[in-house]
Amino acid sequence: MAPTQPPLDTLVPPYIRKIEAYVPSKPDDVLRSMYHTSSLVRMNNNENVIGPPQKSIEAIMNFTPERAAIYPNGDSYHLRHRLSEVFRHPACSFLIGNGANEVITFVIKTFCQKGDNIITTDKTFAVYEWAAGFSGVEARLVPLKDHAFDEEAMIGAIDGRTKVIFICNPNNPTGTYWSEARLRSFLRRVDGRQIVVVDEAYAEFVDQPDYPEGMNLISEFPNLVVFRTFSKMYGLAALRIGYLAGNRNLVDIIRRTCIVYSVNTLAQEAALGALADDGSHIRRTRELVRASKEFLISELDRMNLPWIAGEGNFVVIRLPVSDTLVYRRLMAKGYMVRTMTGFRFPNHIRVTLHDLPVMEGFVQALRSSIA
Amino acid sequence: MNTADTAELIVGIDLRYLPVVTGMVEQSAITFGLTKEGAQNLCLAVEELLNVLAAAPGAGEKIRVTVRDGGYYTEACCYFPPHRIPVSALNVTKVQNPYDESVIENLGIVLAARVVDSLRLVREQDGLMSICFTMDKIYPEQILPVQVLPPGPYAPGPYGQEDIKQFAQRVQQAYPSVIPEFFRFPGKVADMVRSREFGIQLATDGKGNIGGGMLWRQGEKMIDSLGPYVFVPQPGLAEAIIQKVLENVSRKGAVCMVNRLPVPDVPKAFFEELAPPQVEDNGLLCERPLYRQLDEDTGSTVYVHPNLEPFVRQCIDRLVLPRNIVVTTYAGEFIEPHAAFGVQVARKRHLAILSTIVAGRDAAHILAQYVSSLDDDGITRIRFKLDLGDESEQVLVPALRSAGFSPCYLLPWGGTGDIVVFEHRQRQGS
Ligand SMILES: Cc1ncc(COP(=O)(O)O)c(C=O)c1O
Repeated sequence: MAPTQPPLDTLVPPYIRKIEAYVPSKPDDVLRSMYHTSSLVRMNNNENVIGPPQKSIEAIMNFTPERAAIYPNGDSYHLRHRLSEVFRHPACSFLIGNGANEVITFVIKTFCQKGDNIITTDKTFAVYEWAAGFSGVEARLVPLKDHAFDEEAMIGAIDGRTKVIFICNPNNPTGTYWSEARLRSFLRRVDGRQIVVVDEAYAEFVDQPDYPEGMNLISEFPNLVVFRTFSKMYGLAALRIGYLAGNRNLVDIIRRTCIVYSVNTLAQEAALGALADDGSHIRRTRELVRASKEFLISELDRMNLPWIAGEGNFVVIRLPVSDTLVYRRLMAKGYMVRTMTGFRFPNHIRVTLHDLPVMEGFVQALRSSIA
Repeated sequence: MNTADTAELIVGIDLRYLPVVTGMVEQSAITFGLTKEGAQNLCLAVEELLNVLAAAPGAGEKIRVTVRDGGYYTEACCYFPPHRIPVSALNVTKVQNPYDESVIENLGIVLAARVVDSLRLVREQDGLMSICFTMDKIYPEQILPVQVLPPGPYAPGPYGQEDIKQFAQRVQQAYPSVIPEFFRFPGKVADMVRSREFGIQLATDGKGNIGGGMLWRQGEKMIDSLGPYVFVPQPGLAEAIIQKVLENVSRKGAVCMVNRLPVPDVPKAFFEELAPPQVEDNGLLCERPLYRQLDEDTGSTVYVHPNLEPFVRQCIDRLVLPRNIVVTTYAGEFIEPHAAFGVQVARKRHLAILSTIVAGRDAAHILAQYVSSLDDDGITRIRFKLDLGDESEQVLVPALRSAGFSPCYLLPWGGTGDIVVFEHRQRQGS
């Protein structure tokens, strides 16, 4: 006899029943075989094509396999102390997670319960909205204005149940950012009543004098939480490591929901290596991004394709055809981009910038994919 | 499902309970807004089903009957163990006189569809069988006197109930030949949206005029869309509407959007054509739906009978789909003796859609029975959805061919995997 099935309709909360699991893409070897392509360039996740900084590479090489048997340090002690030196905040105001993605869930779990809401925008990184969804919390999506977070409308969306406001600075995928003056003015208007998260996943790519280092505002605004990641500029995406920083009292509370031991030893040591870089890694990466962005934009102009580009190692392109169709055509030619229908930009793709030879191949493939 | 809008009853499968069940179904249906006659039709269908179930051996088993207010329709569903229903009864049995009550017990339950607006027979995830009958509520037909719209500009924006009704009326006027019948009943369209089964996006001028819009049914995996319909010559309006709709439906779990009744105004840039330019049988009248994927295609395995392989390969190549194609070969292994098919009948559209519950050896025979019985019932279009994600279904291909079905198009992610939609050839043009 078939075993009795658990009564899922009563066991599973309604807000979980309502949502769909995130389906990640298949591994490269599987995709290559399905799309009959011998090579595949990943241009979908905004990784750093240069790879990790030299010192991170050394840290990874120095990891002896026997150490895999030993648990990592449970709260990334050394890394937090190093961050403390770099940013001049106490080590206890940092909380390290298995990628910035994990710290997003820490924040929502800490502050939100059923009936509460978070505020973000409709066209940004999806995980704020998802994490709210599977926590049974409403995500209020304030439309972007001129491709940027709309300060006024976000303030207007706040109500008595608003707990957290997520600002992606610079925004993925539009590349817009709030200047220091604008961020300060927003924080003053929120006046400490809600938690304001500033996600700075792409901060290291920004080279603009008025771009605010959220880290410098933490002492002034005790409701501010800053996210950073080692996945983007520092090229450690595979190791999954990111962190949040905030006023120590706030971080003490968030720590209650934090999953200890979720950050592995290799990741902690590679991240320490990244922080030891002398700045040459960031310079090289920025130079590559600048040159490739310039090249891509001029090619797009020649093809009469509208684009959205700002800060960050990515460009959004508007297509005259369905983005999900172009995705498949580009895959068959060995280029994997991010479709933007899921970011509420139908018929757009987002492309991670690679070095010039790859970009040249990509432009050619794009041209034939929209024909 | 909002439990406040549902009545539920669990009783033993026994004719002693017949009055209890029919009483509950009728009273609930009236409470939910059906006319007495509509409620009685729903009862009749449930009664026929109970007759079949009670005739089967088995003691102590129960049937769960629910009646639900769907907003613009009322639905009665029956859930019961699959073995209660003999496989032969799951399928159609032809009878001489369907109105002779004495032979009702011998009828296939599909005949219950004769009295209701639609019927759906499926195997639920928990292994139970369910049959749902629906009756649509009755709405007055309303046709708007022709009025010229001011030039606008129109833009996608918020709307109210009156706007929805105006939209329905303008759709009738602008597209009289290619739209579903419900647009003739503006109140019904308003209730369809209110039920949340349908989404709508209208373009307004902010002064109470509707310049266009789009309506869609939000399924779990698939969105069935209609439009964009535009009533003014404003360049870019159709694009603006579809763009807004796609923003609305993204991140809600659906993987694709289909438009089965495309009008000339559909901006082609947002869609792909599913049907190959020419299908294999000359003269086969296939629907030609437009399709849009909402997610990146992460690839899947499809199982395909050798007989269908050229068609499937052609579709996959044309649509550039990442697929592992596994050609199934029959090597004498066990096949269930009896086939059973799920069916959805939409009476007003004269349409039936069949799908597989059990792939069995007598499939060709059962399919032929379905076809002739549905034909007798005035159903002129019969489709079959073959799920390429399920390897066991592929043995049905020869039976489908011999029963007169031909493949029309491949719908990516239309089932557990891709599906191939077949159309019955004999029914064409009748
Ligand atoms: C804005 C933003 N925040 C956070 C993340 C997640 O970073 P991590 O790899 O550290 O989880 C990403 C990655 O795409 C991102 O774009």
